[in-house]
Amino acid sequence: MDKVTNKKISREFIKAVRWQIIITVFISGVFLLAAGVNAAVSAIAGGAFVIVGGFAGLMMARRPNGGTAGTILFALLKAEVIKVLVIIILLLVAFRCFQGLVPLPLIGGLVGSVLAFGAGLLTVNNENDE
Amino acid sequence: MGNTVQYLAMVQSYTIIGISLIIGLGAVAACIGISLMCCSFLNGAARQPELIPTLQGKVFLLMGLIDAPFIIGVGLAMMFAFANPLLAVIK
Repeated sequence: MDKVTNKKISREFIKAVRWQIIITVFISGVFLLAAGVNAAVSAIAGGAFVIVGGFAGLMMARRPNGGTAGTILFALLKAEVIKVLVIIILLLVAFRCFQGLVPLPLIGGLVGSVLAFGAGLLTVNNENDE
Repeated sequence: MGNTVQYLAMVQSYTIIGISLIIGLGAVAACIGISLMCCSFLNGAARQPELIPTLQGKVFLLMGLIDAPFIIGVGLAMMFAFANPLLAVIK
């Protein structure tokens, strides 16, 4: 995988992460006003899990591999598996170890952050990418 | 007391069935979506190999979107597994 491709994927990922952070902070603010500090921290944790998982997947997708479509696809599938595994492990750890966890805000932050991942698609046809 | 235990057991057993359905159906749907997209990626890459770098970023982002319902389902399933709100009605 060449540097241009890596840079393009990173740029799209950064755009997605920016939207994820914005939406997570917004949801966290709403829960802070509605349900208190623990709920806000739970919402931030839910959003952060998705961001960390996405970052782990990006690291796997950016690893150098052969230039054929099959190897690239395999690397992307591995990246997705790593991403899902990291998110599941972090959720498990949070539910087992986080004493003040409020489940509904956690799910709210998770949902907002996961859906905001698609915001990276906004940069796909950006002319400045070339 | 006996009835309460019976109700608890019933709620827990139905919850386990629900969790299994959430995770299983979500995984099946994600697998179908990703397989369709990978098929399209390979098709496009075979037709126009010069578009592979462009398609790669789109595939990475779309995989995240296709997996979104599955991840949300896993989160909900964990909520029902570790902090089941339905049990509060009985207690």
